[in-house]
Amino acid sequence: MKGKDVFRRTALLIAALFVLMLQGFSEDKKDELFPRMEGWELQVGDQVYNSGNLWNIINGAADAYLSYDFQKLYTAEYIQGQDSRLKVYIFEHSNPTNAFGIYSQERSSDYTFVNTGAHGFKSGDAYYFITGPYYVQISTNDQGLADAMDALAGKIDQQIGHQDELPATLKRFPKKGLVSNSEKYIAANFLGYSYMKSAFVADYKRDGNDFRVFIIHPQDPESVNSMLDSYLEFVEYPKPKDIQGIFKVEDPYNGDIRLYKGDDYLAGVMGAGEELSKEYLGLIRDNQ
Amino acid sequence: MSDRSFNRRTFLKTSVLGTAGAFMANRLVGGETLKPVNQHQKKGEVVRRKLGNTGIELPVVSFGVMRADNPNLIKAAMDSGYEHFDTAHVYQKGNNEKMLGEILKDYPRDSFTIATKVPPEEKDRKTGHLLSGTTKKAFLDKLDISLKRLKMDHVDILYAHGLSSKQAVEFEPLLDALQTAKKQGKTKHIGLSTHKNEPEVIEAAIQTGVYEVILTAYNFQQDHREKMAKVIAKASDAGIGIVGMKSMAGGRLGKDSDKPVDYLAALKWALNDPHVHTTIPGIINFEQLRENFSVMANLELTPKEKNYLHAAALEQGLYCNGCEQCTATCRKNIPIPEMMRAYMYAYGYREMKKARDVLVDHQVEDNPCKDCSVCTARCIKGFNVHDKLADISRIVAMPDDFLV
Repeated sequence: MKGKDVFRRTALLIAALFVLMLQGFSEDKKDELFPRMEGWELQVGDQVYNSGNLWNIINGAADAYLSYDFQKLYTAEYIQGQDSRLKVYIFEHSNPTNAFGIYSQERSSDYTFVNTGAHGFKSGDAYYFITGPYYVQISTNDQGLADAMDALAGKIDQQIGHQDELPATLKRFPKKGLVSNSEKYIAANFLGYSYMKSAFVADYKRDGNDFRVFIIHPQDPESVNSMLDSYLEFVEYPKPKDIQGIFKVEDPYNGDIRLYKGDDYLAGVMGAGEELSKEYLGLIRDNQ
Repeated sequence: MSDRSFNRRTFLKTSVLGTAGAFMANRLVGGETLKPVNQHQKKGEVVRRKLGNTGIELPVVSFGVMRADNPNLIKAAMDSGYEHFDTAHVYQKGNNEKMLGEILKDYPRDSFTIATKVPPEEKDRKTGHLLSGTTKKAFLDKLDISLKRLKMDHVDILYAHGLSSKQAVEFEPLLDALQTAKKQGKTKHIGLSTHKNEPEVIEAAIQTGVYEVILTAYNFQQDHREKMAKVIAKASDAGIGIVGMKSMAGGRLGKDSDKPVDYLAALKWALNDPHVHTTIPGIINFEQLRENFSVMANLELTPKEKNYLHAAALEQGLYCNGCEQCTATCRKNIPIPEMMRAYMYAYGYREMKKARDVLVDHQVEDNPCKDCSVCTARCIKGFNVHDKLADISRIVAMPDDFLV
């Protein structure tokens, strides 16, 4: 009985230490994400935002973040003198693909792209990049602080633990004619249909043709079939027993789409003629 | 929403496609042109309301564009009878406005009503007060950027985005900026949007006599919905247009529940208040685009929807709405809304570890109220804050094997 008591007490002590360690880790995480920068005072925000209160800080923009499985938002300010301020938001998503997804919705070809993290861009008063599951946003109201923003971005990237991998599916997009930085990850409702779930898309320009290519590559390969079944029923495509090769559907809202179903993915080309579509769907198939 | 019931025929039949020229004949993204599709429903079948004294009249359901990433969804909406589109300077860092501009440039300017929101530059998040960084120039510069993205010389409604205090509503540089934008013809009407401390904000907006439209959170899950109904009626009677948002209350029944909100019941609940002139649900797929037409045509709640709303009201007892009004009344600055969330995890869903994670994240100690002899914290829902905090904070020091 005594032995059991000792064992019980030891187990409880270890458990309590674990709780304290957990507490410490989580607390540290808020502080550890933000590096010190010489000459700047760092003020880490007390509040860590979650999906329930993200609206309080970014208003209606929160809806888009939530659709990419947003987890937490950490905030900080770097202050120098009276007026120089750099505001930092670090959004944590459930995985790097979702971080890329929301980032890809917000980037634009107007910006200057940078090599920080896995991908990034900047303008005169803002610097954004993704690394792992984090989407980092630095902003200022003083365009004279661009160099300081550059330096801080590099430090945060190192602090978080630089990760330069983008989602693997992006590598399957053919390079020829690809509009630079046009790749996107759509988390749900692809093409405007609730059953279509997520997809990667990229824009192309080739010989005067503007077209879009997409790849649906779910973790569960079987779901490709159910998505395709629902879609073919909607577009009234006479589905044969086994779909093979490239086939064309007439989507009433998205135009003609040529599709190719691989073993575990579905690829499509929108807005291109038959030959061009065949070429690109073939390239995707060969890029496996 | 049933996938089975939705196919191309049912969508095209049930869409409200008002005018004779409303065909699916525009060039789609992807470069192809589709054949016109005959439409069946008449304009008169849509419930329309006047937007206060603005002279604008709209269908009761409009299009919140914030999450729409398929331009063809906007085209289908335009061609099927939607008239009002709501975006903001900050949505997708401006890409949302750009997408709208790219599509709407192909339509006559008087065939749609567009609203955008520009945020004040600097705000104290705790008090909602605007700070000196909010200047007339900064606000108008942002508006110019928005107009450029939208490819328009004016919007129909310009909102000051996300105001949450009387001070912000009355902030002189902001009022000056809004009125200047109107004088310059960059907007036809000016307004504000609010989703925190809404009654205070709306009351202040009525008093200024400047704001013509108010975009406000209004839903069946708000604890202060009766207060909201009264102040909305007062604003509407004063000639202010009322646009409802967040009708779905985040899409979940209770802030952290997994139960989805009944979309149609929630939308009808808001629109059954005749002082709500239109709503802007965030539309993300064609199914939703179609379903909204059933609401536009008939606002009457079905018996099933009434039962759902009744049951939902009963479930509200456990949920903290995160209004944060309690935090200002707590002498120790305890993160009460987060602790209430942890309480809900623990007592509502029996997810003890999740509850403790929330407390640990917010550095809550065991019995944080121990130094106070009297609790000053007040909850608008009437929660006994002291007792609930005492109950839930115990979990912080609890070993793991008690939390399974």
